[in-house]
Amino acid sequence: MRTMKNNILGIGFAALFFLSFGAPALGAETAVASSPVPAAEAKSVKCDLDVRAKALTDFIGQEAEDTEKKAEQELVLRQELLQSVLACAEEEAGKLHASVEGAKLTDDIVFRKAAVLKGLENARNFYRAQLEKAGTGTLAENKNLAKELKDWRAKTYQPLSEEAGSLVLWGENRELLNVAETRYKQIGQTIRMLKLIEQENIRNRYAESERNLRRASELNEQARLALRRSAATEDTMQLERAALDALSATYKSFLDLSEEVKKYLPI
Amino acid sequence: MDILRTLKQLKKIEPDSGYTRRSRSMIVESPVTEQPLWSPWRVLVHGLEFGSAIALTGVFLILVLGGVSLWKNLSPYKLTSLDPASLQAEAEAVDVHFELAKLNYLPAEEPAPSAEAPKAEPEPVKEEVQKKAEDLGLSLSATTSSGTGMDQALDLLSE
Repeated sequence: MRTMKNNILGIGFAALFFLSFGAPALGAETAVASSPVPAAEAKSVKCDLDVRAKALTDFIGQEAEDTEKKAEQELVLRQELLQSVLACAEEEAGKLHASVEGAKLTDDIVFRKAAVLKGLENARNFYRAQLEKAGTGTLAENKNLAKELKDWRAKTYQPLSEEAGSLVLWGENRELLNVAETRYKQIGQTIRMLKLIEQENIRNRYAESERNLRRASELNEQARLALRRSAATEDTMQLERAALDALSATYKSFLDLSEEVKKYLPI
Repeated sequence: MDILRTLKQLKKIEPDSGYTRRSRSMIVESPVTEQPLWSPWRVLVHGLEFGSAIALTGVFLILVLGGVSLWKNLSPYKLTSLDPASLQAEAEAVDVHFELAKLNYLPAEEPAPSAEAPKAEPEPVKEEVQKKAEDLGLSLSATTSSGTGMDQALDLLSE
């Protein structure tokens, strides 16, 4: 009985030992997994288009005897939906502003940020000003405001957003290219050390990945030069897309190479 | 046979009577320290011994079982560079960016200007594209597969 008690105590000590050394590591993992997602939190309560759009659609579909009262209620729903659109638009412009600010651009093209940031700040101010108008006015005025807003977004905001997107994506693509280049070098070291490079199929796959990676790098470089010459255009974005396409082909070569290596070694 | 007789005589060997008396009195007079059978200290020590034995066994097991991944990480050959799972993860990140770049300038209904036939993106990539676009603040309202986009809502409001 006494030995049993002692053993139980011993197990307790063992558990304590593991808790002291193992728990912090486990805790760190849990902390990462349960970390809050800023993007989800950033969604304001007002930006709920689904609910408000459905409420309006359902209401319009309903039949009512008192048409005057129905028109009044419809106006309220329209105003709420328009305000929600503006809140979403303002939030979207804010996020894009932050993304452009944080974009990792090379020194020679970083000056492109300033004009885009200014444009996005103006857009946010515009949305805020419209938000006040959206809560007032007649049904016809509300419809007109929605039309004007749609036109403004198409003519003014969309080109600005595309230009901003080009800058942000160029910065992100550059990081992806760096990751791929590191991967390419590591794979090279591995297959050389293991003398797998002597196998023709592996040598060919590796050479193919190199060609694709070089192409991706060249296209991204062309996109950078285009951004240095002028503000982002459709052509710039096309170069960025082509660079990513080549990068995607690079990874396909890496994966094929990995399959080939599996024939010789367990991975 | 003399040797047998000699050995039998050995049985008769006795200590000196004075030595016997002295020894006995020393033993009898020495203080007896009574150790309790159960004391918190003894339990603690025993528990520590037993606990550390279990803990050390556990550590040993972890080292043995974790040896495989440790080998992978510390291997001079860096076989992890060819690990298909991590390669796939990086490839997916590229695909997500490709989709974002495709959507940044093109309306949703226009096909991508690619020489290859447009590939159907799997659902996780689509979701990832949507999430990434939202995080970056890229206007992809036209591409929203579920939910109402801003332009859709404005269309409804303009009617």
